[in-house]
Amino acid sequence: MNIRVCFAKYDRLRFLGHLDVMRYFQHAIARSGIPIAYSQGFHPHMIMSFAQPLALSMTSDGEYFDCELAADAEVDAEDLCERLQAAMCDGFYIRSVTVLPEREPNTRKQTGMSQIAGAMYLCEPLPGCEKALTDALSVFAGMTSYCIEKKAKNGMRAVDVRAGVHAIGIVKGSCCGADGEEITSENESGVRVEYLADDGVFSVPETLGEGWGREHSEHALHRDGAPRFVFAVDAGSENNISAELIATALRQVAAGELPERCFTLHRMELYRSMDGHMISLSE
Amino acid sequence: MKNQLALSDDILLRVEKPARYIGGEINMVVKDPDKVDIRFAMCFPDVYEVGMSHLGIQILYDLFNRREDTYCERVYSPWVDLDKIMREEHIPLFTLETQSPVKNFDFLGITLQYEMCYTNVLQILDLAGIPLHSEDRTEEDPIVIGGGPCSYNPEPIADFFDFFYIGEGETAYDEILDLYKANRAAGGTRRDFLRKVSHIEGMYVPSLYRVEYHEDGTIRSFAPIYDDVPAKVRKQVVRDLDSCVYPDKQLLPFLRVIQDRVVLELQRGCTRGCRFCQAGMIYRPNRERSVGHLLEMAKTLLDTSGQDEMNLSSLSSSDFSGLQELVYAMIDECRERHVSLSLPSLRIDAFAVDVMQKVQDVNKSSITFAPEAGTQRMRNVINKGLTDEDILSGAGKAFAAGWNKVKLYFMLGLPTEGDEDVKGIAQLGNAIAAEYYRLPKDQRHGRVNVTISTSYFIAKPFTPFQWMPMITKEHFLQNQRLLKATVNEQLNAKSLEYHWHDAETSEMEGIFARGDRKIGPAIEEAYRRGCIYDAWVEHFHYDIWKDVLDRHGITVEFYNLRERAKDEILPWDHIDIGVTKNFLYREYEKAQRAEITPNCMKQCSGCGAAAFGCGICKQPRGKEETV
Repeated sequence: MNIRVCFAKYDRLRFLGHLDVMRYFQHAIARSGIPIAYSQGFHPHMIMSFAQPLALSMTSDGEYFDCELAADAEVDAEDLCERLQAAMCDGFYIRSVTVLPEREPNTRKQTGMSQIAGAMYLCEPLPGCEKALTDALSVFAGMTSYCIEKKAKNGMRAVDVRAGVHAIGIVKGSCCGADGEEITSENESGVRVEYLADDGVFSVPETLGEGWGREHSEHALHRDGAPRFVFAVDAGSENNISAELIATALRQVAAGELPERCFTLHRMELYRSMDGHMISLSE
Repeated sequence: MKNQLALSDDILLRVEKPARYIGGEINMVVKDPDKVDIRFAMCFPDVYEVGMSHLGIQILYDLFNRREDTYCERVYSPWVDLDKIMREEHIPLFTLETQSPVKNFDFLGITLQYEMCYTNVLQILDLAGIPLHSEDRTEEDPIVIGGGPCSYNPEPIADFFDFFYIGEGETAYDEILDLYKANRAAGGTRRDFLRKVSHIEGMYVPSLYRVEYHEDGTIRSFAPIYDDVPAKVRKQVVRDLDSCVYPDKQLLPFLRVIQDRVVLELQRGCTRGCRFCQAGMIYRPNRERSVGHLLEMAKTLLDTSGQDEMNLSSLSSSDFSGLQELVYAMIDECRERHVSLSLPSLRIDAFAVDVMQKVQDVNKSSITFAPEAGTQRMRNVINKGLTDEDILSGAGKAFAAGWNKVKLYFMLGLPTEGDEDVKGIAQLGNAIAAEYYRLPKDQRHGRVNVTISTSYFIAKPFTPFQWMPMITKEHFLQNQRLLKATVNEQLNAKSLEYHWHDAETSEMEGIFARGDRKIGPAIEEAYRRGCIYDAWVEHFHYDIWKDVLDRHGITVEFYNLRERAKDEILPWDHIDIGVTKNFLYREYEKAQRAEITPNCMKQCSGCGAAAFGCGICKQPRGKEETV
């Protein structure tokens, strides 16, 4: 029996690297007493598989790992979720536990990692970069293609960054809510997102914050008055549009107006592809 | 704003392993600093991964935080990359828990686990914005306390501390903190507090003592300035380990640290009496925890940490009387939980081989011996109760069980050492390899691999060798060459490997270990000239140290190479560890005659630790005590 765990990573923990997050969850599972399956051999380890690593300094609502439970384990997703949550430290939150369907015999194992096809990010410019970034984004959104060189295994390779970005949205009323009131985590879900570009591959959210665990975070709340953007991009092993690639593209478009670090990113969700459409990894 | 970090994202992205500086680990204590009376910053003056591996900090962290009126937070040395940034950008040193400046705390406690951390102590004070010298501190500065093994001879760093806590932390801290509150409530000053602290047993306030020297540099007199300050400071000892608190929720770092496991402390002290070993003397008497208590602790620790490795910690596990009972009781539970057990300092015998087969991977692990010296005569001099026969038969059993890697640890430069003793190291290595080849061919697993490592003997205070000269660096290097050549001459040379320890660090460590207050200014100057992380070979600047010592007239001849006289006042004589100077001197004389002294478990040798009235000293043994 396999389960998929979706968790959020906030606050100070945005400076924990991927390997440390994996270690953390191994310990957390041991503390929670969840009946996890171990590999065979003299040094058995928990059978776990983590999805896409998150870059340092990024927070996230869409982190995933799959793990296998012991053969005789009784599975109640809600109970597992509660037990895992009880083993968390501040900054990590379990958002959901999903029981994965049994694999058809003789088919390849589909872990979260191999399924990933897309990601959605919330982007906030760093102080001083607001205008240049907004301008660059409008220009970028109007393009149909934008290639940059990326280091690959065998030399440099041209990547079409623009083609990998499926939707670009601007969060409306970022200094205040729809009717002029101040935005708080409670009413943030009512904040509208307006799209500069959207090719329909993702079902993009019309308002911000639907069902996200952001209420746990003291950090994720944005600075007053700062604009915010939403990106829906290709991710995973096929064509990964990393935060770094987007930043490089926007810096080039802005022609020297933007510094090396010009925004912070929050990962909203990871997706897999189904019939040419992106659906959440937890669905 | 509890999640506000002291460092900006920009800085955290520039430094190596930013997780060193963010805190937030599992089992970290969270309190509201505005709602406590005392804020205590606990420091291990080395990088996070080293400091977080230390059990003592876990114990004190737990102890302090059990008090509702106290919030104890942690601080470690910023690594060299962040150190540079903090100086350039004037960022004050901060604690991990609340990320607040150390300068604002009531106390800064620094544990001194090895001499080579002394410049890091100055780095901590300096980055925190606390004056380096105790005498320059004001009511605004934290009280700076030192503890740990190096505080048994704190003289080289006496000027930088307000007081030293000599001995085990569990006994007197409550009294100290209560005194601090009372003194503050009564409007008392920092000086008032320090004077009163000196009346608590185990507390050494260096500023309340005056030292005078003879012309040759030895001490003429060492005495308290005031009548009410005790002339001798007696170390603190926990009499019953079962009844003292033990942290049931140990901090679990996110980063992989040096000792990446939960620690179960079996016992304190050691019964062996090896004459070079400081820990064996300063932690006397040997006291054990009961097996029942340990099993309960082990279960709790695993439940609250989720760690996959547990270390049974002790100076000499094999001497723990309940070891077999404990280990066999733990093996099944550990296997069920997928937890591996590590048992350092285990004497290799039939039991050890059986346990190792159950808990370790024969193919990957090695067996370890620490004979310390190559010949029986030399081992008698150092009172290391381990014979060639013990080693060969232990190795033989391990080989028969499938092991083919052996690690051997030795010291070069031990008192009375001759060329034969050096060569004996290689010969012992060869004999172990030969033992392997005695196995029938079909039972061997490839070639045997015997690794010989040597370090440079350093004479430590409170050991029978505290009067002994060390050998020169040149002599040490010559011994290394002799050993290397002898290793190559052995019949099984291809199975032997030889590693050695750097001599320059050890020379400096020798000076600090038996140093006096005259060393302090040199440490300060070396720090000003950029020395930090001296314990890290890649950051140790021998050239700077050499130059600084020359300028301060500190010589290797005086501190390391001379034999001290019986009646010389040693810089640490005012510290009373229970073990008497007379006993140590008797041991020093016996060492010169290569006579051995029995293990405390066999008979009492009257070292003086019986005065604490606990542990092994209370058990009936072979012979009556003769104090």
